[in-house]
Amino acid sequence: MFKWLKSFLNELDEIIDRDFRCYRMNFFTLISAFIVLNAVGGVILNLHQNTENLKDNYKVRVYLKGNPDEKSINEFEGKLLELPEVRHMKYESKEVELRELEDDLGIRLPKGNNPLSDSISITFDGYDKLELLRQNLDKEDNFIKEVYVDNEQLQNLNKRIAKNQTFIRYFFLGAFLPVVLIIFNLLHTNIVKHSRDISSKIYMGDNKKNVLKPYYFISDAIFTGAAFTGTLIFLNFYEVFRKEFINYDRDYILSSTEQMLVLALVTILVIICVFPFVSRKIYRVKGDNQ
Amino acid sequence: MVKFVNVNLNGKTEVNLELNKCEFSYLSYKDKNEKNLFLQMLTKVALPKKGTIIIGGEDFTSSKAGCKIIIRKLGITYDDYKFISYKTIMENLQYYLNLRDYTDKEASKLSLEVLEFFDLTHKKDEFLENLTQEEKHYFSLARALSSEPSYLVMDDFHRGLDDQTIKKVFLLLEELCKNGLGIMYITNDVTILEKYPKDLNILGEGVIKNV
Repeated sequence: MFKWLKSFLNELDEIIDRDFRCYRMNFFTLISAFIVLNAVGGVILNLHQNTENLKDNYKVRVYLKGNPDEKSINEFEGKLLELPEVRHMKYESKEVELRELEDDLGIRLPKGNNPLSDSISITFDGYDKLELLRQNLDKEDNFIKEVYVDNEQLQNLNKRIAKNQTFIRYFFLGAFLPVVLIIFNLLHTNIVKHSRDISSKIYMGDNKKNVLKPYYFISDAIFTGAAFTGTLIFLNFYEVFRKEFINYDRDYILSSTEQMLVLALVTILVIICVFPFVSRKIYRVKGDNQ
Repeated sequence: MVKFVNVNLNGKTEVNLELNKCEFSYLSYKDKNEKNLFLQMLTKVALPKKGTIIIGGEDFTSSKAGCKIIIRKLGITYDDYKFISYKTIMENLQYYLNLRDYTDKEASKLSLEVLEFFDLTHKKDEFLENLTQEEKHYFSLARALSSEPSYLVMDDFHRGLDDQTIKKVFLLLEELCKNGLGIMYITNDVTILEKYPKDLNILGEGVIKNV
């Protein structure tokens, strides 16, 4: 056991010693690649979250007939919630609406003279579900006085969401995947550049598994180290950037550093589990029968 | 003896071949891939789909991959040397001998002996890249002979050497052969075949023919 460990460490030492510059270069390149990967992932995550937030703006307002009591409002709300296209809703009494109107206009209307109706603001799944929702609401004409739909606002919202989603898709294909490929290539190169030595050892009579062990170990160690270093560097930059960004634009909510950390860790874990495995599968040397 | 019995190389070529001690013969080939496969089978890098390879009376194909005693009996020199680039000459030899179950002490002693024989002792701490073409050839031969094999397979060993050195090498090989070593020299070079005539085997077209 110790003899094996000693020879393994000795082998590691010799390989690293001979190719130290190359490994160092590879390590720093991988760190840079991971910073870019995280940055691209951050942009995608933030855009996705922003798009999800925008989806909460698909709303119609339903004005109710007469003065319904609390029980019938609850029953009606229950009915609406059963509709698959409805996400959630918010009830507003006519008193609250009047107060909001007074605040908006900057005047006070005489008490007892409230021309408004109770209303429910319904958030639904998307612009394509609007017609379905309308049809379902039409069935409730004994309870609903009027359905207010700001069609222009909904269409603009729909365009914005579609634009975001297209951008995410192309950004993923154009930036995320190439960076992933670069990382994979660097990892693969760590082994492939030693093909001659590996092949020589196998031809000398060594076992393929034994021969590849130190190379895989070095490659995995560089990869894991670079992944964590790159991610931590990125997260520090992200935290600084986020603080600055919030000062400029408070309406836009950037994902928190904790969210980014979770995303980065999950990505790295997946990559660590998948990449070396794929690399080992791709890398073929003579002596596969051993 | 080294014996190939109905060994199927690539589904097409079937090899039947015998190499005995004190025997020096050539092996020619028509397809380089077949030659490479032949060498791979001798080192267990590839296994034959059909047939048996016997080395020193033991079945090489069915024995375990790490059958160090069997591979001791066979020394091979490759046309591209097959050296480990990050190890010195001495370390390369020790690595080779350790794989053949020699202890570090034995390996060290044998390495020095064989390097001295080929006048390479002063280069023992050098890397491969610092050797001349001739020294690389001699080192390749030194490594193949270091485990004191009974059989030696040489793949185009003369390539890159001048006539004088080739002559010296062949004289040495003749001497080794007389002392009991079985040698198979793989080449397609007609000049060599004409200059140093021996029995010729041809690899290809399904059979090995003694010409």
